[in-house]
Amino acid sequence: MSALPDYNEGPLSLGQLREEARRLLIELLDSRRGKKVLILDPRVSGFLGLLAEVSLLKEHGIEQLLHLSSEPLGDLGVRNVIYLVRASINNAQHIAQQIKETNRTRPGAGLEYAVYFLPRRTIACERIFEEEGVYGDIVAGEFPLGFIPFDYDLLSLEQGSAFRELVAEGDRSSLYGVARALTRLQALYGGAAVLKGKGTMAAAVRLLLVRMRQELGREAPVVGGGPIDEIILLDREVDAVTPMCTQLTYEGLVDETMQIKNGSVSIDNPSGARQKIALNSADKVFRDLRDLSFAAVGPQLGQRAKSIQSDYKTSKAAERSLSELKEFAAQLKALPNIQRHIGLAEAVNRAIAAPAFRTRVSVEQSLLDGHGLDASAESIEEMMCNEEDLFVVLRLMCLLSLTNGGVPKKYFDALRKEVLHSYGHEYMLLLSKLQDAGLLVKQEGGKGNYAALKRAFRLLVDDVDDKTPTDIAYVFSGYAPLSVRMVEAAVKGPGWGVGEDVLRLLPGPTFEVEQTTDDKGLPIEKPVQDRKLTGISKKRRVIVVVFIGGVTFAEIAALRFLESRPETNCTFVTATTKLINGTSLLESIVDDSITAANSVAVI
Amino acid sequence: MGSRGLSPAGEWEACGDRFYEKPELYTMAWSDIKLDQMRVACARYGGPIAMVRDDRKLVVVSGGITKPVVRIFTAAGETLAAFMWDHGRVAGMGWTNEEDLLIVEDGGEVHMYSMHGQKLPRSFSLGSEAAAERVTDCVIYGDGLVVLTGAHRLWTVSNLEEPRPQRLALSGLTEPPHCFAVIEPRHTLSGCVEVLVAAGDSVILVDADAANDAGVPNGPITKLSVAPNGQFVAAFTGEGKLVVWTADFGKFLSEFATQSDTPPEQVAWCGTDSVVLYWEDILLLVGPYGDWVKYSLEEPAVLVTECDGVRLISDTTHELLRRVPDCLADVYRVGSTAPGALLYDARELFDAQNARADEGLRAIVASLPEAVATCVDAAQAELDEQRQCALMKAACYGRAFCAADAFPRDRIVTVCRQLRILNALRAPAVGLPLTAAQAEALTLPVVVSRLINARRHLLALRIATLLGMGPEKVLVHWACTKVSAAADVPDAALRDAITARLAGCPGARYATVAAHAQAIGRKGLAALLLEHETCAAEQVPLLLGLGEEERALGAALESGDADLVYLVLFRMQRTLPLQQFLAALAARPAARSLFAAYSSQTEPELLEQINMATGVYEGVAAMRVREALAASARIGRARATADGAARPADTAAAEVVRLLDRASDLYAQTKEHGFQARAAAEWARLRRLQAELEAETGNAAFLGLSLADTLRQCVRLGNHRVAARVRTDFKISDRRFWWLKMKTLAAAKDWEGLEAFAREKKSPIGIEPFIAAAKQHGAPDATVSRIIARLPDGKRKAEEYAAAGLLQEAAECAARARDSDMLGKLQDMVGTVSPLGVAVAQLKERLQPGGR
Repeated sequence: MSALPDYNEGPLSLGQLREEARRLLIELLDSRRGKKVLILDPRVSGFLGLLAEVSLLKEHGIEQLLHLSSEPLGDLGVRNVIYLVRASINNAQHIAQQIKETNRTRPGAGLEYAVYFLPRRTIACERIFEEEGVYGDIVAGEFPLGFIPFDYDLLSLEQGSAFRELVAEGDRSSLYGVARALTRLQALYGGAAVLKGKGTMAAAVRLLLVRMRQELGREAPVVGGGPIDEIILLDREVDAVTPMCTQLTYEGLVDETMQIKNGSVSIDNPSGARQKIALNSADKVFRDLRDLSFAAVGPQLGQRAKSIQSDYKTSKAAERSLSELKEFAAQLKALPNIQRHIGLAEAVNRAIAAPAFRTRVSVEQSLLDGHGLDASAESIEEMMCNEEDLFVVLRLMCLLSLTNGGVPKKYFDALRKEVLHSYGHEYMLLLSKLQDAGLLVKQEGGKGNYAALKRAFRLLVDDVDDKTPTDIAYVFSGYAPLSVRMVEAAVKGPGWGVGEDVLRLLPGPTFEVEQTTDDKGLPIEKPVQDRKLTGISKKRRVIVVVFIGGVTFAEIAALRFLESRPETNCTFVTATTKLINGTSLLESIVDDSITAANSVAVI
Repeated sequence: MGSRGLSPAGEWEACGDRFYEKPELYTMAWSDIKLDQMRVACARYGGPIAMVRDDRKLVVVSGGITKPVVRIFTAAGETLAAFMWDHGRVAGMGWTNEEDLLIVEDGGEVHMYSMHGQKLPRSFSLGSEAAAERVTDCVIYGDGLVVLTGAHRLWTVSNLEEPRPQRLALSGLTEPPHCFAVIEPRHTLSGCVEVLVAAGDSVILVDADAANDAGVPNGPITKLSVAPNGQFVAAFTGEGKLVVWTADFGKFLSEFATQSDTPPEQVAWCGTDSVVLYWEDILLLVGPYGDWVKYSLEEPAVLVTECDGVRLISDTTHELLRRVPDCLADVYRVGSTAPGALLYDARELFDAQNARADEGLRAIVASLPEAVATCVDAAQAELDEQRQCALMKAACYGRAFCAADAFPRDRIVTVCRQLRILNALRAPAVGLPLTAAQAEALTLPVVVSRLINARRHLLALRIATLLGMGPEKVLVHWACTKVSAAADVPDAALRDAITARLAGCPGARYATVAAHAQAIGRKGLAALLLEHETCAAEQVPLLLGLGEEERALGAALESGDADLVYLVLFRMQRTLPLQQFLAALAARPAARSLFAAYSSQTEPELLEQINMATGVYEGVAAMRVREALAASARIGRARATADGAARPADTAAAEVVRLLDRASDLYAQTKEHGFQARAAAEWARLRRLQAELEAETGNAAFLGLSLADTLRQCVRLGNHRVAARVRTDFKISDRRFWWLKMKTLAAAKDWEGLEAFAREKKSPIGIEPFIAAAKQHGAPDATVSRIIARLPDGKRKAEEYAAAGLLQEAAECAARARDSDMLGKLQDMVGTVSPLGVAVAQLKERLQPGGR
């Protein structure tokens, strides 16, 4: 396992959260005696590595790790089988199928099955076991995992399907997990005094939070005294524009070009082997570079490498004090790390040197600027002719739709038809979902709210200095992500820091309440009266920003940048359902049937 | 020295360097009990006592009733309940942690009763195998049980909430074991129950996976007893010895020869370090270092192990045999000079207004805090109220002379509060004889729960209030009991009575009360009470139970908890007629989409019905599209396995087209899905065309491709006629077509074709993309040069030539375009000495003004 970040250096000691998750995991593993096989949902196995190393699993009797499938189990050499899966209908069906098949093909195997659902057991899954007739063979339990710490200031639930379920399918079951994780977070670190939010899902989470606090009664997390001052809930739907844009920070671009998965990225190193690089704050070089504009990364890396070299040349070991030598040795140690990042930055450079990348960024910029709509549509069409990646094309189409209150009639069907012709008619299902999600719709009437939002939140900033930025807009080279602008305004306060009329431009309800207790010590919430809670105070406030539906690395970078500004007297912890970029967000909406059909095609 | 009035030391028995006492807890309130004829089960921690006539013993039955009666008493012998036992033979009896009575029938049925003799619905069976083998013996521990069957096998149920009988790995015994004992799961390493079985000359350690011989040399063992902490096991051997090992028989600890051939009737631990052996009229206590005390008994008794002693219940009394706690011994031991004892004496002298009190106090001034602590601890451990009082007084007296923070101020308050609680519990009317140590092990919140169970609500409420616990639990249970008791009170009046009490306590769960009301058949009351419930997870299942599905669905949706919505929907699906169910879904889109998410994967037919009924035609259409996609993938798979040689099954291909046509029709039935309708139709058309193409060309390389790929395939195969047809059929724009064909030709390195295409007519995309594509795919210079030649003369063309390394042509072109800058650049590139350089220089010269 690669180096872990120091989870406790942030405003909340997130190590505690990780310890708790590990404890839950160990309890779960120990619940079955003796040697056992652990069967994992692939979506779980990815982040499980962040919580527990393989040796820990071995210590607790796991002989073998398998991925979930519906094929019958062969001779495993052990009697105990533990499933650890997300509570989805699909998974329950696979498990039922596997158990049935195993019982049929190896009736005497005498296996004992325990199924742990994440984050809780659900009636729907149990019903599938009942209907498939395997309920009696299974001991069902749950793995009540909440937020997984990815770094000292970053939490994710890793619910990749949340956005799709919420926005395209009207299934809000994932919100329960969000609310429960937030309740657990407040139980550990103390309740937040103020709860703010924007969007339909945020409002639903707030209702759940109120309910959960009330149900806990006197055991509800105590408000005040803990480190968390405020929680801001934001729907991804409120700002769908940002993820459609290409992130231009170092970490963001690595994600855009090579996909960061569970905190690490795989690249081909010079020897041709696949190399996995962990990307977190444990890597001091990365920590300094991750949030910089990519344009500033090359020079920085060069400078560092050079300074070590020149130090080396000018050094006369005999003339140095021991402490100086120690420092120098530490610097030398960082050298391979610097080289690794030079390799990574080169890989990014190769990817963005392609003319297609430049076209993509310039189309984005002109759409965000709000001019050259026709030229943009033409460019998008040309990209399809050039067989550019489908999702890059779709991101631009969505951006066009989102910044213009829909795609103008003359392009709407034409562009969509082009998608079907170029990538296959099966993507009509995806286009329908994008339409349902409001990401790719027809322009009806006006040009939408984007222009007004752009003015109100100063989304476009001229003369961004990539190297020494003074505004968050550097993360998209001139475009300030709306979500972070909202946080920026809300932090300055009072309230949301912008007028009612501006907030009305955005979808969904807006709220700002105080979490408190009544005279009997029972939890209630009430409108914020004490402006001291949100206004400017001496104390550096800790704010948890929750992105329901996903957050991009560029937005995290913008929040960290905001935090570093002297005028911002707050520290942020970012929490989300999933770390995303525009491509992974759209990919998550792709119909399972297409994925299934395509996987067949690959075989 | 003072007299130490009230001293109990006279009743203590010395055993080595320690003392044991046997104070009486109660004189039993019962009168007609003969314990030796009874099978008795006593709950730990001073809980209730259950008994039933022991059919293993010969008893003269008088009177007409021959059926045995199960009787339940408090620890003080007050009757709690009695009921007729009209099931099979009793194989065992015991109490759970929740103080529910378990009675195991030899046929494997396990019956559960409350301490008030009400049959609980949680009864269960040990399964047909255990039933066939007959249960012969049984041990019930706090949250599970172990039974021995006639076939000498062991079964266990480790969770009474979800009883799943599990067989333990004991096998191969031919005769019944001498005895067996259970180590509770909370004490074992594995976290699962382990059983010690004395059979033959040894002891077998049994768990779910294995049975291992412990290799005990002293066999045969006739009695086994596990210490209350699960760490040690005491055994009575055939040679009349009492032997103690660690519980895994890994380490021998002590041995004591009793000089008795007859095994004792009972062996029980007294606390965790001494063992009590019981013969008919003798009680032998053996301490950890081989010291012993013998008591003679006048009556038969039942032994109940506690964490700090053992209770002896006889026909007339209830006693506690325990080691005298050190703090008490320190104060009351005859001749004790411990600081605690001296402080106690000083206080007695003070009360007697004797000036020597001060003297006594001065003697221990250095160790006063210690003396105070001893007295407080002793008061806490003492059972006698008078002595508690005297000890506390001594403590307070000493504390007054302590430095300010030498002794924690609130300790005395806490202990007094605890003593008040314990004394109240110990009162015969309540009958919970807990010592401070037991209360600590059990914890006071659990004590409150037990009081609630025992229907002592007022006392429970007072204790809960004293401890600062919420009163919710007590009040809710009170309300339930009230509902049961007030059968004649009308619903509304009862509701008012209950809400009046519960209103002051917002954490109280009305749902629990409502559930109770429903269970005893007062549905109206349940519905009324549920209106006050705020927690949906509690409310919804009950509403379902009351048959109020609509209300339940509303509450579940409002709660935002999808799981609850599913609970309601599944129930509605089962109980309502389909049409009604569909109507309910149609009215609530949120519920509809949840159910759609479930049924799309489990019951697609049902989902289709729902979609059709609710007018969601696009949903059905999407299902058709998915089916088409799956069918198409199947064809692809079939081809892949058949090496692509086989022609597709025409019927399968036709099925895909049929599904797509159907999807198109369905989409067309809605207003908003015109695009999808056209797309599906177009897709069907594409599939048909592909099938035709395959038939025409005899090449199975088309089906399943996208339109663009189909075109590419045509171009690749050189079938430009068909490509043109596809282009017109699907109204593909010129630009699009040009791009596609150009890129395909270049990728296929068909340079001739590419050149020909570039020449064909005026390209709508210009010539530059041709050049770029040609270079990208490594076209020969001649080809590139000929394509560049298609560009109109100008700077651009010259640059392209130069970039392709065709400097001669570049120079000529630049010259024609009269571009001297370009020529200058070229000059730089070639240098001036080469022949080409000279030529370029000449060309440039000619362009100079006046150069002609």
